[in-house]
Parts: sequence; structure tokens; C-alpha cells
Amino acid sequence: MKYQPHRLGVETPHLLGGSAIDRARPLRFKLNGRTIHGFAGDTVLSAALAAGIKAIGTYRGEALALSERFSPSVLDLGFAGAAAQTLPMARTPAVDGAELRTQGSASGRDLFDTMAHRRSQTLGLKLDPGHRLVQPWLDGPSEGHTDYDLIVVGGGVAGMNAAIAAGKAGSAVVVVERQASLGGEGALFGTMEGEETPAESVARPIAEIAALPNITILLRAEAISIRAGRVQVHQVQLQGSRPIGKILTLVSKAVVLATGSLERLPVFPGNRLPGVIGVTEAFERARRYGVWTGASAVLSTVAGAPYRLAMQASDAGIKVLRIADTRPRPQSRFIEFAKAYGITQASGMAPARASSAGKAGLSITLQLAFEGYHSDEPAIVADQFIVCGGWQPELSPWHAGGGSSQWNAENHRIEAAAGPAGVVLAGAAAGWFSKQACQQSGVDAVNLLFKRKRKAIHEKRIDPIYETLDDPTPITQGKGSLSSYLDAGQSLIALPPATTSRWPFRRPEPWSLAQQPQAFGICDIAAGVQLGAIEPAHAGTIAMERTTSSMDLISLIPTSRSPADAPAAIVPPYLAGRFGARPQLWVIAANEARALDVGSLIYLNSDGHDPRLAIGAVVSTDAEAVVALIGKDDCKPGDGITVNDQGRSIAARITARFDATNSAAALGSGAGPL
Amino acid sequence: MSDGPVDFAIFGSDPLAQLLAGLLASQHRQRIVLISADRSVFGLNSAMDLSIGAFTRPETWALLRQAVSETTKLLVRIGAKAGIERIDPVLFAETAEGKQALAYIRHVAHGFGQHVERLATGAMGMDRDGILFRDAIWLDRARTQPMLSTWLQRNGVKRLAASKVQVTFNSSGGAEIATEGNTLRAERAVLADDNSIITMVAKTLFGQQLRQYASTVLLTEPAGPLLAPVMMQIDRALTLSQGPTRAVAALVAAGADDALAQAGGLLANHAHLRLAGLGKFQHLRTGDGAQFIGRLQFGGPEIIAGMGPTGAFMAPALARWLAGSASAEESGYFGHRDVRDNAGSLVADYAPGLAP
Repeated sequence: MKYQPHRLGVETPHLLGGSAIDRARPLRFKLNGRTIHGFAGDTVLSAALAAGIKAIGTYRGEALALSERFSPSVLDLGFAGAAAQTLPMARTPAVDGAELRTQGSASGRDLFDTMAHRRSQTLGLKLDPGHRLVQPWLDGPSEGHTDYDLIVVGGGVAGMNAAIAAGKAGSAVVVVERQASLGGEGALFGTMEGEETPAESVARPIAEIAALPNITILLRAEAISIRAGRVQVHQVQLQGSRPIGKILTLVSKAVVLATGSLERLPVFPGNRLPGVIGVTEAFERARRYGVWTGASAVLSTVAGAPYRLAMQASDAGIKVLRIADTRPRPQSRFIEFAKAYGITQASGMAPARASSAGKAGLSITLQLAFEGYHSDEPAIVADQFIVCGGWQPELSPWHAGGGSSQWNAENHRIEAAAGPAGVVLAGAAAGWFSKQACQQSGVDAVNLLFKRKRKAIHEKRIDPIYETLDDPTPITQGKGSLSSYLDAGQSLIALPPATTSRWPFRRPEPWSLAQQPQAFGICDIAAGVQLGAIEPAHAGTIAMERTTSSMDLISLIPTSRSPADAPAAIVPPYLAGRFGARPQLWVIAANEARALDVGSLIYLNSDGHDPRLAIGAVVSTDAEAVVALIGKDDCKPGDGITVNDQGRSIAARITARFDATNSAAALGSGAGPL
Repeated sequence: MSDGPVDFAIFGSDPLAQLLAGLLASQHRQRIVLISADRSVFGLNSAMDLSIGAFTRPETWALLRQAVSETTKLLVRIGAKAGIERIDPVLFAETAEGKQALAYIRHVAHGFGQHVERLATGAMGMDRDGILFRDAIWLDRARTQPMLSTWLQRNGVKRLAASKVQVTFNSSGGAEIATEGNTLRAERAVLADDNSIITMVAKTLFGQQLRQYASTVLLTEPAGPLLAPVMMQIDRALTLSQGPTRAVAALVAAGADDALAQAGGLLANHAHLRLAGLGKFQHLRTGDGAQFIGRLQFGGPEIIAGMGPTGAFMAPALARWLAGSASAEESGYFGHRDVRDNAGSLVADYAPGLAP
């Protein structure tokens, strides 16, 4: 396709044609002045990717890939100046005739490229520290609140089954789903013998939900804040043909978090270059929108599912040059099928580094890594490097809602522990692996929340003899002039590139994960544990503290509370015993026209400077009188004293006893004995 | 199996507990075991170490004058110089009580040689008073910690993880510490940080002397420069600090919602400042705002609480007090802060009202 170089053709049948788009309904819109061609059903992001835009811009001088988890906000110029109408690119539907501009700092050169050549492969944002991705759509006002019996966050198989279980019992349910359709991301994992196909396991609950009018579905909606029975959601809605953003407050005593899992990014230099992509995103991008970068790909994996993508990509005409598996002798039914496709496979191989090969794509180096032995293979040039580092339950909303977690060394991931009342996890977020267990856990979550009889969840897994367990996420340090990011999300925490100082005795400042001044993604923390930078025993605590929602501080402020400002007692409790057992309140006056200050210490004469030897202090000043607390038994009007105002000695005199009635009131209830 | 007895079991993870353990071992020739909660250096700091605080009592400033110098020299000597930062912190208040306390603090601190200045009206925003201290010392815990650990090891301090021991306190102030089949007897037990007190002493025994409260630490992404690297709002028990990364850490004596409201209100001028971390803790304060050094009414271990940010700097004097070699001034100070009747406390200090 002339204007959509990264859209897969559908001349031959395959499964990556784009289930969400309608190729019979083309559309055009402008993004940063450039005309983007797409189809009905595209998001702004998928259309931009299909049009050949691969990079979001640069960070510390390195190009960064544009992705579902790392894409900017766009402003509809029809709403110019209204920050509330800035929308997230990944959730905003592409509409014909729209004129959009990405939000953030554009670098001069990339902007020039964009404006002049109209074929740039980058959005041209400069994301150096201080110019992070802006998300002004988080700050809009909420449009009232709606009460439900159950809020389900996540519309995958677990979330849908939870909604059906509650909906069938007559509960008012709302399901919050980021994508434009229900179903989740489980399709990559295929099906096991005796199970529904991925399509069936999505279509069946969708049909059931459609028949239950008490279930409300919020699509293109993201939970942005979860706390004590309230979930705030940002949703992109279509108002006529124009996308608008709304913040909704959902209220319920029962919340199911079926937030799925995040794919771990293998850590190696160049792991966020344009062209490097996680297997789940590559699959979903192609399955939903028919978008695929380039004509050739190399895969690196720690698990079996990516072999399935390799075969589907081959069916779609992509040349899969190699699948490298970190496991020494992996077994999987997908592996056997992939062999039949003639795809070159290599085991015991981890990604070593990636770098730009110019117009040719990426230069990809794999490394034979086996029991401490490491050896680089000759570089391979391909358009795309699809990497799979395993999956981490997405627990950020769980932590934001007050849930705890802990590191599971066997599964190489952080898993949920105890949680707050009224919030229950389900599906992959709860740590379940199989589709059957995810479905059952959705129902179980509802049973738990509504105190119904629970049934045991059966985790259906293939014997490791036939389906080798996933490896830990590969981490390759050193060699390479590019940064190695710990995750593919917004935190941008990276191991610095390996550099050598010109000065032999100069040691670089050691890299410290703890010093990173930004919210961590949960995958950053998992990587930190693997790197040895976070002790496994502390991973749960760190995850709770640092995987906060990364929202604007001001938008998180609850209803402001003005503290009651009671008037201060003339003699505060901390003066008790300071000036003897029976100090008295006296009215004093400076001998010259000098203002006296509360707290100024009073001495017998101008030689006094040690506060421990002070006989009193000024306790009140106003236009009418200066009152002092003095602990000298034989005080009388006319006596001379010295007031020390921060080193300045001021001659003063006692003029009268402070009125006894007022004095008693002034002492206040908190005052100690005088 | 039983290990040989030790003179002191010090419980705590904060610099105060570590300095106490090391000083008792190195300068007072005591056999020490230090029992610390296993906390990651990645964790948000639930407290800070600063050489000044919201003290109105002259005897506290008098003791600090010597203690700060002594502690700083010790830290330099053990190689922790990189963890010592000299800064000009600000104390401020917005309530009438807080402003009044601020005035007393300024005058008393000045009387002990502190360079303290009143900030110009409006410098802290509407309706706030502020004072600025010159040349205070702020300890960077991440940089200090490795040197303290090496120093403790060099001085033979035995270290145990709190999660791996079972402790039985006896009425005479000692403790039996069981760990992995061994039992260690300590002649005296000292609980030297809030976490160890909260963990090891039943709340019902706190009486009027100690009050437990929720606190929250908020960490933001890098922000514009604050007026000072450390800013303490004394009437909210709230501290903002900003290090070299320009991230702001807010320590707030309140639950998460109130902490967000209070810190967010102060940082409202920093547009689009995103949260980078949030930690929830429990802390103690004393009923009268004064330091507490002594035993609760039931007896048992000695307790050090309510030291404010200056606890680490008081360590040399406290070590002398525990070892029985304190000066008359130190004995008077700590002696008066032993068990007391809060209704008529003669050592009461400024104590802003905190939610329980």
C-alpha cells in the first residue's frame, strides 16, 4: 500500500490482517501537518505506525521506538488551547479529517524532517529529562460519580467472566477496558487440547455480556486512580465524529482487577530502538490492525508462544530469519510446527545488542549463553527484532489500591500478596497462567467479593517434558554504545552505555537504581532483582512504594482540607518550667521606641546571652501592650530589664502586672504549671 | 547452644541505632549486638537526619552544639564524609501556634550560636512565617550507610536481622535473643528507633508517654528548585527535601490522603509534578513533644523516642549516658527526659497536634 508501508496485505489468507479495521472504509487525517492514511477502526497510533512512523523521538540522543506503552498525547487542533481535549494517541480512534498535533518538545531537526519531507519515520519528540511525556488528559475534572455493585478493571477473559458471574446474579457491573474491544491479549498463547479456540473464548463471553443489560462496558477507558472504593477512569469517547476525553468516577465496594500481564523487555544495549518490539505488541498490532514493520524479522524468546507468531508472520509473507531461544533444549508443540515451516531455530541464544543499520533496518547480534560461557554470533540484519522476556503480572493498580506483593524466585516475577478489603485480583494479574484458570479466577473473584461459595481453580498446564518452562528474562550487560532499558514503559530507566574514561584513574559514578527520581514500572523492579540491584526480599515493598501511578501530584490531591487555626495560648506548654516554678505575666515596654518580638529572651541586664540564664521571654505583642513571662520573684513595676532580640540588647522596663483575669484565660488548657 | 552474653542489645536500623552501637563498642568497650529491620536502600526514607530541629528548649540546643560537632568528626573519621552535606534549611509555619513556636525557636537557637535568620514577609507565600538556618548538616543515608556498616564490623558489633530473631525482654532491662538455635543474653536492651519500638512493645503499654501515628513519604519526579534543600513545616510535621536529582521527598505526619493534600498544596506551583513513589509508615511521638529516654511504666527495655531529625547527632551523648560516663549536663538532660508525668511536663517541647 503506497501510503501505508507497514500495513500487511491481505491478498493471501492469514490471521494478521487486522480484525479491528475495515479496509473498505479508508480515512485520512493530519498528524503534525503530515497526512496519515488509515482505515476505520484504526487508532491514531496504529495508523501512524502503518504509515511508517517507527520512532517517538529521542531520549539522551538515542532514538526510541513508538509503541502502545510509549506513545505521546495528541491535541485535536479543533480544540486548540483546551488541555482537557488532549488525548492519549494509543486509545484515540482515527477519524477522517481530524487535524492532530503531538504534545511534547519537538527537536528542531526532526520537526524540519517532518515538515519538509513528510516521510519522516519519527514523531520528533525530544524526551530528555524535564521533557517527559506529558499527559494533560489526566488532569481534567471528573464528571460526577456513578455507583455500581462491581467494578471490573480489564476486559480480557478473566474480567469478562467476572462481569458475567456478577451480572447474571443481577448486580450492576461496569467493565473498564483500554482497547476498543473486549477480549484481552490471550490470543497469542493459542489453545490447549480440549479448550475453546482463542476466538471462541472471547466471542462467547462477549455474546453473554451483550445479553445482560445490567453490565456497562467502558471501552478505550483506562483506570487512572484506584483508592478506597473509588476508581477514576479516563475514557476516550466519540462525540459525533470527534474523539473527546472524559474522566469518570466509579464507586463500588467491590473491585476486580483483571489487569493482565506486562511483557518483560530483555535487557541489552539498543533494546528500545525503533524496530525492536515485544512479541505481545507485535502480535496484537498485527492481529488487530494488520500493522507490521518491514519484510523481515528475527525473534528472540524465553517462551513457546512466540513460535506461534513466527508461523503466523510467515503466513503473512514476512521472512522470519531466525528464532533464538534462551533455553538450551526447548520443547514445545509450537517449536515442532515452526520447524515444519522451515524457520531457522537456535537454542541457548540470548539477545546481545541491536543497533541501527540505516535503511537496511537493524543490526542484531545474538549471543550463545550457556552456563557462564558467552560468545557473540555474527550480526544479522533485519527490519524488526521481536523480543520476548516473559510476562510479569500487571500489579501497578493493585499497589495503587493498597495491595502488597512479593518476589517469586521460581517464576522470576513479582506476585500479589495480601490486599485491601473489597479489591480482588483475577486472571494473569493474579498470577494464573492458563486460559482456563484465568476464566475460573474471574468467577472466583466475584464469589470471594460477594461471599458466595467458592470453587477451586484448576491451573491447566502442559507437562514441562512437552512444554519447557519459560526462562528468566535475559539480561546482557556491557558491549554496546546504546542504553539498555529495564522496561518498555514510561520510566525510561536504563543501564548506562558502556564507556571508558580517557583518564585512567577516573571512576565513573556507580549506577544506582535507587537514585532514579521517577516512578518505576513493575517490570523495572523485576529487572532490578535480576540485576542484583534490589534484594528479592524487598522487591514487594519497593514495588508498593515506587510503582505508583506516576500521576500529576496535584491531580491526586483529595478534597482540600483547611486546618483549623486555633489562636495560640499566650504561654505555650513548652515554656513550662523555663523560668522557675512561679513565673508571672507582666506588661513591659522598651525604653526607646523599639518593637519587641515574641520569643525575645529577657535578662537581668545587658550581659546576659545564654538562654539558659534568661529570666523570661516576650510572649505577646500587639498595638496596646507587650506581655512577658518573667520568673523573678521580686519583680515590680519600674524594674529595668534587658530584652535580647537575636543578639541586640534592648533596654526595657516592667510597667504593670498583666491583668489577672485575662492572664488565666491566656494560659489556655494546654499550659503547664507556672 | 548459647552464645556469650553481650552488654547491650541495640534495636534499630536508623543511623542513631548504628552510631550508638558503634560508639558503645568502640569508645566504651561494650559488647554489642545490633538488631536491625531488613530494609532496602531502595526503600523510601521514612525519616531524615538533620542537625537542627523545631526545639524551643535551651538545654536541647546546648547539647546539640557539642553533639553535632562530635558526630560530624566521627563520621569524617570513619570515611563517611561524602554523606555529610552542609545546607541552609528553612523552618516555617502557617498557624498561630506554629508561628509562635518559630519565634521561640529562632531566639533560643540564636542564643547558642546558630546562624538563624527570619525570612522576609511573603518569602514563604501568603500567611506563612519562615526562618532560615545557616550551615546545618544533613546526612545522606545512602552514602553514609556503607561506611557505618564497615565501621560496625571493624568494632566487633554483632549484627542480626530483626526478622530472624525472637526476643524476650526481662524486667531488669535485659533481653534473651534466640536465633537459629542459639540464644544470646544481653544485659541491657535499647530500642533506638520507632520501628523497633512499635514492633516489639505492645501499643497498650505506650500509655500517655508515646503516641503512634501514620506517616507518609511522597517522592516526586524532578521539580524546579525549592527555596531551600530542606524545608520543615513545623506545625504540620511536614518536611520537604530536595537532593541533587531535584526530586522532592515529602515526609508528612499523616495518612496518604492528608499527606497528598498537604504536600500537594505546598508544591502547587510546580505544574505537572508527577509522583514517583509513595510509602506508608508508622511513627511515634511523645505526648509532650519532648525527647523520651528511659523505660515505659512496665519496665523492660530502654526506649529512645521523640528525638526528631537530630537523633543521629545525639548519639555520642546518648552512648555516654547509656555507658554511665555522661557529663553532668548530659545526665541532667537525659535524666529529666526519663519517665515523667506529661500533665505537668517540665521538659515539654513544641508538639503540633497530629491525628492519631
